[in-house]
Amino acid sequence: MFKYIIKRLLQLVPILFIVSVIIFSMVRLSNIDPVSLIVGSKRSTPEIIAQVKEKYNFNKPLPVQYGIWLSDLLKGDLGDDYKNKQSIASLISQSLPVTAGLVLFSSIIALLVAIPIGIITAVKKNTWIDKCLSIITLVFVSAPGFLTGIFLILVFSHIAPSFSFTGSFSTFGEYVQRLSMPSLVLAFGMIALISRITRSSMIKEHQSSYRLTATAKGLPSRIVILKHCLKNALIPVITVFGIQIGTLISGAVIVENVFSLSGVGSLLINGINDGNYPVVQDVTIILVVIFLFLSLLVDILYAAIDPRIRYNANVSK
Amino acid sequence: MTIDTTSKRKKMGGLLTAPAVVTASILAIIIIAAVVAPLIVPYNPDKLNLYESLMKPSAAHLFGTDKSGRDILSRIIFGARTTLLSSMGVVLISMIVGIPLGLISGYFGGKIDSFIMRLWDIILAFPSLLLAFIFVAAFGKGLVNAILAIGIVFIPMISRLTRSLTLTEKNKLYVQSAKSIGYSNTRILFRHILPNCVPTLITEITLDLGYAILDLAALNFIGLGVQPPIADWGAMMQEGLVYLSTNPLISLVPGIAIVLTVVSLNVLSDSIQAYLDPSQRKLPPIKKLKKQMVGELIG
Repeated sequence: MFKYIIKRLLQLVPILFIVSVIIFSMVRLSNIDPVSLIVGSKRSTPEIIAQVKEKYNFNKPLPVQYGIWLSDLLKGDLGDDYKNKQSIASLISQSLPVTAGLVLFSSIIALLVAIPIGIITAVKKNTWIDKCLSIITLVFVSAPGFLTGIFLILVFSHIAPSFSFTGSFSTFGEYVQRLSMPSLVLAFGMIALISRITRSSMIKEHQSSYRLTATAKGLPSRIVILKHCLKNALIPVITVFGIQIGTLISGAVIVENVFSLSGVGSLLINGINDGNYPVVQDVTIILVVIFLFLSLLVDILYAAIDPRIRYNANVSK
Repeated sequence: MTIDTTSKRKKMGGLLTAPAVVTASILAIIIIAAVVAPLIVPYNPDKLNLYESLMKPSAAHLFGTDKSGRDILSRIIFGARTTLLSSMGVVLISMIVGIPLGLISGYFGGKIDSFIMRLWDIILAFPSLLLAFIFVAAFGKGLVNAILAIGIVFIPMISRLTRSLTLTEKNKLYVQSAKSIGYSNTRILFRHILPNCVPTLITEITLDLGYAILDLAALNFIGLGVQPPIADWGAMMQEGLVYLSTNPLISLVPGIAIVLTVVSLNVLSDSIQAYLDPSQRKLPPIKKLKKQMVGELIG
């Protein structure tokens, strides 16, 4: 088990290296001139431009600039942004709680709502409640996140006009209130997908022989479903959830735009629009690192729950 | 024993289920509307008319007008063109790169397989839209770059599916026969294995069209894709965001258009999958079955 984790971590290193090269080169390919952004509104004379180029290493060849960025990154120094000369680390630490909260709350909401829906629709297969819920989940799988967001904003502005979900927050209570609607929106797509997967894997477990044995032995069906089938049915759900983390992170960026939240997503988008190289580079690589580690975590969880994965990994050596 | 001439008709009958027919017709209507758009739009979708901006729905403007006075219905119809063409572009890119590489990596295995899989791992290391973001950061905003970026993001999906299908087909008897006759590998791959992968690939491609529409709409919504004045459903939703309380239709109508298209694609893909997997097919009503069996007994 430990070896499995170490092996996976080692596989991440070359991937991260290549990813960082890709990010760096893509950002530098951009047409926006960084010098004018750095100098800003001050008058730019040739001396100032030369000074800026010297200070920010623009005169050095690209691989050297990449090396400088990478070594700084590994030391933990994220640098300053070009526009406002703020420390990128502080920018990210201000915006990460918003995005992390979004992703966390929506995952929790999604799992808490989707799994029961999946179980109910599987147990009551082909009844009207199954058909209704299936249609609703189908629509939500096909609706873009920002559409459900817009729709919810409309609905809530009529029902509860005083419920604020825009603007900044200072206390934890406001934080939760502010993030509630966006998390709900982000959760909708996940709920739809996870409930469908739970339903199909519960149906599959329902047809298995151990379920038949348990029922034949006289166990009440509630125990059979919840205690035996559900555990096995959750394995594909965890797999899908791991794959969906990437979609969650991308979706969080969009939802932040709809609800004007100042999270990592808006930081990134503004950075792209301004041509703020270090912000785009640092934010992207951090998001990729977070995504890869979360996927690894889910894979380890998956291997811990299902011994077949562990044994197969060892046998195939 | 009679020759079973009705079998082909019966098989296609399995595909003509109610959901499949309904969604296929919806999609056909959208496609036809997109193709003949210039002939059927009541107004020029790009024509600015500030005197008529932000009008409510009326007989003259079925869905009202947006902030620049452009008729929303016309923009929706032209937006169908953008949506359909761009999503087809995305899927085409992922197919042209992904399918051959999937075939090769599944058929030859070994180092080529590992190398190609590593490539996909690198693409998959990025959360989907993030790769599109830095692509746009590098090469500039615009519809073409958005299509390229999302096309690249979709390549691993189709490639891995093709690869696993190839792995299954590789061990079948017809491949061994073809090899023993001396057919070249290219011929075996493209004239024998690929046609057998097509049915499952069609299911995946229909699904991918739906996802492509959603991802492109998201990119256009943020403003990193289509640039004004091109009419696009995602971009229209962004424009209408400010006017939600007064003219919600500006955002809602394109949104409903997106949902309708993607739902139809998803249901169609489900129907194709159910058709291909006989265990999911529903039996015809019992009277028909009986007639069929009696028919076979007699003739």
